[in-house]
Amino acid sequence: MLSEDILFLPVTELGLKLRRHQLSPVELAEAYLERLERIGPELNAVTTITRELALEQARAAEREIAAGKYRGPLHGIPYGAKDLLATRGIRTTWGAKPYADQVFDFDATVIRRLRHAGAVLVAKLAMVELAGGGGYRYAAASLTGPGKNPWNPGHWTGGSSSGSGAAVAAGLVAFAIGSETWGSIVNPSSFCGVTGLRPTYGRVSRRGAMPLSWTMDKLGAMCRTAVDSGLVLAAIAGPDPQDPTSLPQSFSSAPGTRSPRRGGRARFGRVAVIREDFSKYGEPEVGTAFGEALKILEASGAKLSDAKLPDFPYAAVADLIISAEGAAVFRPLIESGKIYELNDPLQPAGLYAGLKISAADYLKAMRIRAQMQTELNRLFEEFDLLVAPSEMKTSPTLDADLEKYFSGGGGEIEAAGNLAGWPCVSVPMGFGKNHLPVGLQIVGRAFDEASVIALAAAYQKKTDWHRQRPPAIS
Amino acid sequence: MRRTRGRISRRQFSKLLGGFVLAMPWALTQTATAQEVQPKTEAIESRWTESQKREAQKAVEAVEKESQTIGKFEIPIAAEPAFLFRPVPVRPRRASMRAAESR
Repeated sequence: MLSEDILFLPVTELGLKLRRHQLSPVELAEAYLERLERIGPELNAVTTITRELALEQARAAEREIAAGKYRGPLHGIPYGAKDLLATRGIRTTWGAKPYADQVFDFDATVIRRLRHAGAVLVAKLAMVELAGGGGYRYAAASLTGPGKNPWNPGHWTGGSSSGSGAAVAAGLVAFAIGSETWGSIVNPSSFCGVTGLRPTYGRVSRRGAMPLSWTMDKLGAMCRTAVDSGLVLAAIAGPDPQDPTSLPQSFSSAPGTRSPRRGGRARFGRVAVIREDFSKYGEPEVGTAFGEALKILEASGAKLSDAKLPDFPYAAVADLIISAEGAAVFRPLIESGKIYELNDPLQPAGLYAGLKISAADYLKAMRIRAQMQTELNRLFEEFDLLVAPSEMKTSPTLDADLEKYFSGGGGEIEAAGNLAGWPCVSVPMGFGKNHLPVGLQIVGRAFDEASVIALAAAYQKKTDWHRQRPPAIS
Repeated sequence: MRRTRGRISRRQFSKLLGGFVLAMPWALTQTATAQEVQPKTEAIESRWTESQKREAQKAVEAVEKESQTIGKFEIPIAAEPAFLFRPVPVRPRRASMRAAESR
């Protein structure tokens, strides 16, 4: 049996061991599968364990690596996928009872690309039902029950990529795929103390992913390090003729990655600090951790200056767009009445309300969004990156009323970044109340994931928050 | 057969009547189906429990509030929405491909 230390290694180190034949892909897959079967249900982190497929893929990787056919840094690496990605012949539940027995006859593009990269799919991971499309009030808004935080199982993982966050934090997979429409990668990454990368909108094909909002959905990696998230992005990014919103830009994770926009090295010289008012909202411990993080960023070579987002109704615009598009996606479910099979009372109400949005209001929101994008992009004429706390609070308890918990304002950067389609990395930046993790978000201009990852990697070189393991699990 | 404008024979009349009678159940079914399909959301609303009605009402009010916020926000009249329709270029198929398909 492999030691637990191995299972918490970043992909970069696992890949090196596999390539040097110091580790067997089959042995590695077996170890993660055993852990998934033992700890996964305790955390409500897993929908389906894909044991048979995983061992088949691991054996193939073992044969190929032994024969010298090394596919790259993900070859033989076990991963989990949020259960909104279609997998041929394996159920894809979208975290929701009405779709509990749904099986597709094709693989999502991301799943196909990871297979080509030699990665090993060990599990479909739990999620908030329908990625929380209609809104939700309780952590229990999931087919598999409330996502339990590995740092304290009495607290929530965050959502909607709840299983992805928990599985990476608890060492059940080497990395995971999550999705974000508005906060669904950044939030669980922050609450679970993992590194999450939300790529630029259109960078990764969404073919085979559950749609919630066609103009805002993104797929990204949740990992142990920023460098790992770049490796995964390089494998899944690029155009896809089957997703008309995917864009031609691919991504390279090679060291000293070049920033496509500037045609030079990734840069993080000028960094804007988006300050939050912790006296009005949030937990002061998060503010303290953010202050410490800023000192480390400065020591890493970043020149910090305060900046403010232009004045726009970010939350209202994001909410209206997602509500209208989500209601259009799930209209058959709403009209069939099966919507009431969902766990959370807010979900059916929110999706139903989305049907009441007029076309004129939706278009007004999209017109404001275009103006917003122009104004927001001006920030990047002065700065290379923006930084802010990922969340202003630590994770709530499992029975908390999430509507109340997250009400009060703050955190506009999350809505702004998602509306503008900007890339973002959330990295662990310490601990807050109840020794629960808190995160730092680094946001970049569209298609400049290289700079975002570079600053996150520089920060992780000087800190060890990302190397800490949840005591309850270890 | 010559037809006199505005007048029909007895035989034609009985054929027409027969057709109408035969079509009646079909016509009624169509109407019933349409009634069922069109106001589906209303039909669903009528099955809601009191607490579901309250939740839905609250959610609708929240959306209306957001619509008001967005409605009040001023933007230039010429502002375009954040997405634009793009025609998709299609390459013409070569004659050899068409020939291969027809084989």
